[in-house]
Amino acid sequence: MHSAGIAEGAGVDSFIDALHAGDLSLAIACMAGESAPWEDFITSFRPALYAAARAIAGDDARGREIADSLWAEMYGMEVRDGRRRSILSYFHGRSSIMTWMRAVLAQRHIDYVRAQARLQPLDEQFEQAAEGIDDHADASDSERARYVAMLGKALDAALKSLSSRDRMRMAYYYRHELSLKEIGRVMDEHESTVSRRLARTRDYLKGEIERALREGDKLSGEQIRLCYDFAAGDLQIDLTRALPDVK
Amino acid sequence: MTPINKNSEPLDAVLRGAMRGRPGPETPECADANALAAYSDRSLASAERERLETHFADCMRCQVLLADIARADQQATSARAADEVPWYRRWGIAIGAIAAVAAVVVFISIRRPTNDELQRDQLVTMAKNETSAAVDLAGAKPAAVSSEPAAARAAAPIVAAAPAPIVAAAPAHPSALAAAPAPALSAPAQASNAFAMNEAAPRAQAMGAAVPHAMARSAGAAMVAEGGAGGANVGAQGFGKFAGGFIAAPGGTSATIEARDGSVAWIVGRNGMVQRRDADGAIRVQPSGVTTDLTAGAAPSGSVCWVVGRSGTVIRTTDGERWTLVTSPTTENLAAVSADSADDATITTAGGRSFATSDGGVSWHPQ
Repeated sequence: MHSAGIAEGAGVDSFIDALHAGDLSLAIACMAGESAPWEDFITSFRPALYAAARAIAGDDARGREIADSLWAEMYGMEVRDGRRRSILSYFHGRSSIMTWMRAVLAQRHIDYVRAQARLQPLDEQFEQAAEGIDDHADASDSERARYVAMLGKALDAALKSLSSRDRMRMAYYYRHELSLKEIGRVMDEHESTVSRRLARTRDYLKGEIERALREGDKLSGEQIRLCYDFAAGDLQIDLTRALPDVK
Repeated sequence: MTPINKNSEPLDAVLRGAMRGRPGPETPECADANALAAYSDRSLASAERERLETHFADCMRCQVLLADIARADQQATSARAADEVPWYRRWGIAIGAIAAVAAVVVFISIRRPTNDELQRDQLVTMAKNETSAAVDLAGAKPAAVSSEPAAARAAAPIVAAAPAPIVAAAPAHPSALAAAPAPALSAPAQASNAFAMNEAAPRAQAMGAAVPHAMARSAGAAMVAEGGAGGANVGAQGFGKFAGGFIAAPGGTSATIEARDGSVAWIVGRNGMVQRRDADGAIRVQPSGVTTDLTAGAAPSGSVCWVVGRSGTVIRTTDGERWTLVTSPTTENLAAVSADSADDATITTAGGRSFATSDGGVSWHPQ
């Protein structure tokens, strides 16, 4: 697992300059078991932590649950060698402590979601997709599968030809449904830039897919339309499997 | 905001479906919380950032984590923005407050004078009229009058010279009275102070219409006389307010009668109008049962009030709510009334005649 980069040589100065020294000092003081810094920490961050937990979990009760859990771990419920062991010891000061807490909350939440998913093999979205309305019920399953496979292959190739940042942008927009402003915050871009680049990437994908279907698979315009309809209608799972490296 | 206006096209549905999937388990290549946070805070060097982005582009788990961090960050930013009042709204509030203050100032400057102010002004006018009338009639010099009863008593003798004398000693406005010349009258001095004037007033000889109005206080109850009969000069009338007393209406519009204990007050006026004002300031109309103009009253308590008016009208309440017509001994316009209880009252006509009752108006006796 990668942590934030370790500075060497000339990078030491910039590394130190980039440290959030105030937050790091506060975390160290809290870990040392001093009450005043801990009270300051509570005053400064507790409301924000719970708000972040609600935003990440998308649910008040679950948000409070993971926030309570993290709060207890930051205080240090486990005592070893006469000292409380706090999760704050993992904070390196490479970011603000608030962003670090959001990252930890997000990790806790995703682990929780994965644990829940193991108990529920198919989530609702996939069930709904499998039960989706089929406007082409008269078409044979084999023909539909063939069209979907051709589109999947063309989409796969088109996605792989994108740059990392273009793929990230597309994923944040279509998969994670972030707003343009949120994508801009992640990618350090203005939202108008995000919008423009998304549009450009989408048009590129469309062109690449249709070129592959038309030239590689010799499909007509009507057949290409059927590919889209079948793929959009009911076989997302197959398409997901067609995508590479989806962990 | 959408990147393109084609989100409902089949390609968009395909992309949404194609990109669905569950986040996988953490791998050695995945970023830890410090790296994710540093990436989100843009604290990483460009090389480290690019290395991580190569991983993020295809790692759904890291994408989800970064998306969650971005959502939480955006939510906090929005909450902060919501808490902060933008400058134009702050200015808007300030401008609104200034406009409200300006409106109040304008309103105060153009509004009609209040009863208190009218009372003050008219007392001054009345006193001046009294003074000039007295000087004209008797050649006496005006005497200084203080609002303090003691000072008034120490001043030159004041003699009633009008159908009803003016009492220029309203406690509510001593400054106005102190500034006004004292009424000095030429008739033989019967009263040694202003408060005693009303005792002599009804008996004093009318001296024309120069001083048509009188306000007097007698034995704790008070009365107001409004000149109206015999060519009285309406413009010279004034207000007075006394404990358990009375106020006459300028031009006969309304008079305020305050109970002696100060608990309630009644406002009476034209066409039989009676309103009750409670201690909390609430005012409500009470049916008087009469339609004649009501001019004066006296309220010895919060439940008892006598009110008189034109054409010998006398009404009374003994419970503070319901008014009954009292048989009157006269059809003359009544100008004043004093009362000590629900049974004991004295009414005075505009012509100066007085009648007293000690049985609630069943019988009246000329005074």
